[in-house]
Amino acid sequence: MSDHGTPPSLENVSARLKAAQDAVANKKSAERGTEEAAQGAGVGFRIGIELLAGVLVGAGLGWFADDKLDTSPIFMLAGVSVGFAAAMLNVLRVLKNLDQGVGLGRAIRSKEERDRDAARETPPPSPKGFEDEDD
Amino acid sequence: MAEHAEGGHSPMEQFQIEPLIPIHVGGTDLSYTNSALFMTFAVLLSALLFWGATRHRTMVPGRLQSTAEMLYEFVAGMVKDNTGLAGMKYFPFVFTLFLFILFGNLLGLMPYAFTFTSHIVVTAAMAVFVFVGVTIIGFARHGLHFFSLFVPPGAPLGIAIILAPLELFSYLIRPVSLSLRLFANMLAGHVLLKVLAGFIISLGLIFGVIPFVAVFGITLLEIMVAVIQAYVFTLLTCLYLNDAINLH
Repeated sequence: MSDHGTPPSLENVSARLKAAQDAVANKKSAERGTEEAAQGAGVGFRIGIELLAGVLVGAGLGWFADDKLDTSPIFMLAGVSVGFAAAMLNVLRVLKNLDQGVGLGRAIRSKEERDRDAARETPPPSPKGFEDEDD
Repeated sequence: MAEHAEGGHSPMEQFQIEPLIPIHVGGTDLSYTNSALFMTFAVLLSALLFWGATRHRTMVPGRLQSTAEMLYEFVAGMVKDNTGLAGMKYFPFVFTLFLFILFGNLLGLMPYAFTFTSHIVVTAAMAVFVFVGVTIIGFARHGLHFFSLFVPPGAPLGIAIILAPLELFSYLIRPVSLSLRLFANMLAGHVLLKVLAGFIISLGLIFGVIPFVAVFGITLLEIMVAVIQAYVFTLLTCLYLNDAINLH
C-alpha cells in the first residue's frame, strides 16, 4: 500500500462512509417494507391452513371411528374439538416462531436456548466501559 | 366437470386433467395425462440440468455447474443443519423431492403449462410418503421409545394426559397441513393470475393496462412463491426427519 502521498482526512472518510451506510440502510428499509408485507401474508396463510388441517383431520378420524363403531356422532364431535385444540397449538407455534418438531414445551425451551446463545454470541458493544476501567 | 365450457374461459379450466394416452388396466384408469406429462418434464429437466452440469467438471465452475452446485449445497446445508450428519443418509430423497417440487412449480408458471403441484392428489401423495417414511424411520431407530415423543417432558402427569393426545394429533395433522400448504398456494396463485388476466381482455385496450400491471407484479410474486413453497416443503421434511432421527 502507498504510505506516501496525502492520506484523505478522517472526517472526509467518515462522512463518505456514513453516506454510503445511509444509502444502504435506506434501500434495505424500503425492501424490508415489501418483504414484511409478503411475510405477513405468508404467516396468515399458514395459520389458516393449520386451523383447517386440524379440524379436517379431527373430523375425518372421528367420522371414520363413528362409521366403524356405529356411535355417530360422538367421535366426530370429539375429533373436531381435539383437532381444533391441536390446531391451536400449531397456530401458537407459528405465531411464536417456534420450530415444527413434535412437542410444544420442547419447542419453547429450544427457542429460549437458541435466543440465549444468540445473545451471548453478539454481546452489545460497550467500548466506553473498557476505557473508563483502564484509567 | 366440463359442462360449463360454453365459450367463456373459466379460471379453473387450467386445472383440468386430460388423458393424452388412454391406458385402462382392469377397470382402473392409468392414462398418461397432461399432469403426468409435466411430471416427466420436471424429472427430465432436473436430470438434464445435473447431467449438463457434471459433464465438464472444472475447478472453476461455469454457469450451469454453479447453478447445480448452489442447489446441491443449499439442500445439503439444509439437511445437515436440521437433522445432523445422521440425516445425510436421506439427503438424496430430500434433494429429489426439492427438485421435483421446484421444477413443478416453476414449469407451471410457463404459459399453457400444467401445474401438477396445484392438485392435492399429487401433494398429498408426497406428504403421506414423507409422513409414513418418517414414522417408519422413527420406529425402526427407536422402537416403542418413539412414543415418548408425544409425552411432554417435565410436565405433571395430569397435564401430560391431556397434552399427549394433542401432541399425537398435531403429529397426525402434519401430512394434511404439508400437502394443503403447497396445494393451496399454487392453486390460489394460478387462479388469481387467470382471473386478473381475464380482466385485461374484458376491460379493453385502455383500462386493461391496470390489471396488466397487476398480473406482471403477481407473476413475479408467484415465482417467489414457487421457490419458497418448494423450500418450505423440503425444510419441513427435514424437521420431521429430525424428530424421528434425533429423539429428544
